[in-house]
Amino acid sequence: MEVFLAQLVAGLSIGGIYALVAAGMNLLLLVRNIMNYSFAYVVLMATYFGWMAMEATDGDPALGVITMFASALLLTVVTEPLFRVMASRNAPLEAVVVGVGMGMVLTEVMSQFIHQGRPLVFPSALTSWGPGMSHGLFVVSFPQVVAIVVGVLTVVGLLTFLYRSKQGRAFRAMAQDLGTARIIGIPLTRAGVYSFILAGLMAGIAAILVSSALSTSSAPLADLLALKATVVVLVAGGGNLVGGFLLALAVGVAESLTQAYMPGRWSVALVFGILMVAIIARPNGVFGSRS
Amino acid sequence: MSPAITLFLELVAVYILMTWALYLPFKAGQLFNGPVYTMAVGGYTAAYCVQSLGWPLPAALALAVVLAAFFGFIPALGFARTRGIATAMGSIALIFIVQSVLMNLDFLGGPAGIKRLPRLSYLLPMAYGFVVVIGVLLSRLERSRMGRAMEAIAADADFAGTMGVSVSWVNVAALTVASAIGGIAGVIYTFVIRSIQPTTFGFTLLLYVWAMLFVGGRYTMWGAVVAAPLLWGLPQLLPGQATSYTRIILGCLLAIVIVAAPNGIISRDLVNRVSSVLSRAPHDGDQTRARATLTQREEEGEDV
Repeated sequence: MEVFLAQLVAGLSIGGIYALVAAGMNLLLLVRNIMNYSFAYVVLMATYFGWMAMEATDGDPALGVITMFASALLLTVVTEPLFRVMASRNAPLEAVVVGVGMGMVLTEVMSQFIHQGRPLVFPSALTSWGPGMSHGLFVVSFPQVVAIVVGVLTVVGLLTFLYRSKQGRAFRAMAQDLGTARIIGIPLTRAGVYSFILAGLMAGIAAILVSSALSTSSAPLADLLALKATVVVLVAGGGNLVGGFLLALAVGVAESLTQAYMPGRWSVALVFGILMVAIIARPNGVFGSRS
Repeated sequence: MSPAITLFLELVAVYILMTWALYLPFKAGQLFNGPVYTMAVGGYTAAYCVQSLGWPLPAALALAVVLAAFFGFIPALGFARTRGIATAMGSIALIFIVQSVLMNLDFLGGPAGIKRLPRLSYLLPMAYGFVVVIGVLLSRLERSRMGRAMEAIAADADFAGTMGVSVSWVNVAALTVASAIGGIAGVIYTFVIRSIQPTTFGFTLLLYVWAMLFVGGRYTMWGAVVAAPLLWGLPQLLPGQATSYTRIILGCLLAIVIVAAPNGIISRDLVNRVSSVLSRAPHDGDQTRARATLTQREEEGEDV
């Protein structure tokens, strides 16, 4: 029971990270109708920058957190012009290819030029602050709890923004019908830049959560995170924020439990296999597509 | 021929086949990345049959192609209903699944794969034999009913459906044939390298094949023929310490070409212009002129 609870909390915290990344990709899918596959790689690249900043200054966690946040925001916004071209050409497939290409470039940088390609381990000032809980086999670190709470809060905040603010209404109008959105006077280019800034903020939060709750970061992790977030977005239904959020939490928990109770080496194939069947059975997503 | 040149030519043939395997579904508007994993299926089948069961290569090749087509056909039944991003990402997820399954199958060697395959002397002619046969079939397809149906689906799937094209059947056929071509490429690749590992059939391979498809030109079959030797050859000419930048260069090149030159090197216009120059043989000059006058009169709205 203790193992089960600890795995549940760990799964929910990983699920919170998936939910954040999936929400960022969903936002761009809604506003720009592009799947930004490089989004998860940007998150992991930001954790690398934060780690480098902490290495240079003897592990100052505040500086690391600020560096992660700033670099995630910058890396996301810098790619906006590239995806703007794809969005204006209405070329979603080409956007996927560009995203994978950029993800590959970031993977190479992470796996060849930083820390000789070894996985990063973040200092304990970042990973085990606050009151930890441990009761026999039940061990939960405070950052894990923070990851769950922050993941939920960010997605709730994004939904509130989309449904309560003027800019959010403009985003939803663009998701509904681009032509009409232009006619009623929404500045499409500026709104597109705003959506990338918003996604960049979410990438920054996700980077901080990855480094503190998982306490490690590596290039293979980026591959897995990118693929899982993308598949979660597709299975839940492109642009469906609530569905994506719930499914991301479910995937995190399922993964954590299969790792604890099943021969671990099959867990990746199993989770992806189930998600693949779901995509093929329901091409518009289990919860329906909104894009 | 020196061994280095033979190896280069054999691998170029493999990449031409792989690029065509992605080009074929793209004609119907599907970015299907499945050939990357059916290449693994084909390669592993042939390697296992030859190495552990002692089969001759032709028999192993036949089984490999059938299995590769089968492993493409099953998901193709589902992908016939999905389009665009869902097909592209779903097939990438399949690459990951197959890689992870191969890592865990002990009778196929696990992460180490199958090593020390026999050397075959007739690989180069066999590889280019396949390139020629599949190339001829593809160029026949351009003018066939099936080819036109695929282009109609790529332009507008719903409209193609109302015009009597069976969208899902054409999709399943294109994806299955593409998977079979991937299987052939896998068999050739495995016996060129003479070993096979699961890690080969991942994102790096996909990046190479995408680069060849998009840089060469994804709207004609000739893009692959130009881009495969170019993109496989250039990194070989780089000095030793620059090889670690190959994938970074490929990723950037892919993004630049897609943004700046969406048609790639060989566009459809270029192919049309070249073929009209080639077909304008001296003796049928009058005929060409007659055809030109006819088109002119049509354009002017005369009744012809």
